[in-house]
Amino acid sequence: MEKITGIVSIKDLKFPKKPRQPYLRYDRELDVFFILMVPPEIETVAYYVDSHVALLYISKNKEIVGFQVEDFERDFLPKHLSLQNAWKLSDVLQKDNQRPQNAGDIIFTIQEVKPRIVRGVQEAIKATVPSFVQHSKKFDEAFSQCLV
Amino acid sequence: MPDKFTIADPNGKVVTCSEEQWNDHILANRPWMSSYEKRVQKTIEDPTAILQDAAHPDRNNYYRRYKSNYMKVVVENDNTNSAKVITAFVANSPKSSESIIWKK
Repeated sequence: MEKITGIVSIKDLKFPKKPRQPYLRYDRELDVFFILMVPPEIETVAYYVDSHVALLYISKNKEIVGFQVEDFERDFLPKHLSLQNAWKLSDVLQKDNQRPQNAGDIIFTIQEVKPRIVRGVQEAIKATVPSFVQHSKKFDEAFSQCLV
Repeated sequence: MPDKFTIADPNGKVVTCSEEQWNDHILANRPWMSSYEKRVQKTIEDPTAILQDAAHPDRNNYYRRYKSNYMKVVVENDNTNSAKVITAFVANSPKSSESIIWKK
């Protein structure tokens, strides 16, 4: 049977110019991890770059505003050690000799861990998606801006 | 919790989306999907193609072509005659690892 081809080419997609704070979400039941550089209310289209990773872009301006990683804990995480270290909160707390005493400590820890997770996902995507190498400079810029 | 909707696919399989799945997994991840309920139903009822998910043998992915993208509905088979909606969103194309099992 013939293949179903994509509607938009990856060449048409572009990274954001303005720095944005990332929004992270993990759906445990679906095992999908999202990084968004726009509010989740903004409509996005998934552009699959491999069997786990999809770029999320805005249809109107073709701007890449996030990523979704499917089968995140089941398949993606075990392949990426640095991301695993950031993901396991217990390891991070132990490493930094912290023990959360209240909700404030947990919120603070999450804020500390967030850039590590985003960087971990960034590196993992670059490692697993060869087609992204040609876009890696723009990719790095977009991420470094959103992590300031 | 009641069902959000129940729709038969082109092969007569009855696909159900629970309120819980719709609210906690589709809208919670993508609030903008609230305006696409009819498209999700239409995608199950009259898809452009149905593909076998590569990572989950019990899942089929329904795609319906719209002007600039596809609506994708991920469905998990309970048995040969019924299935439930897992998630739904808009995609540029299927994954290359998915294989077509039904085409319009």
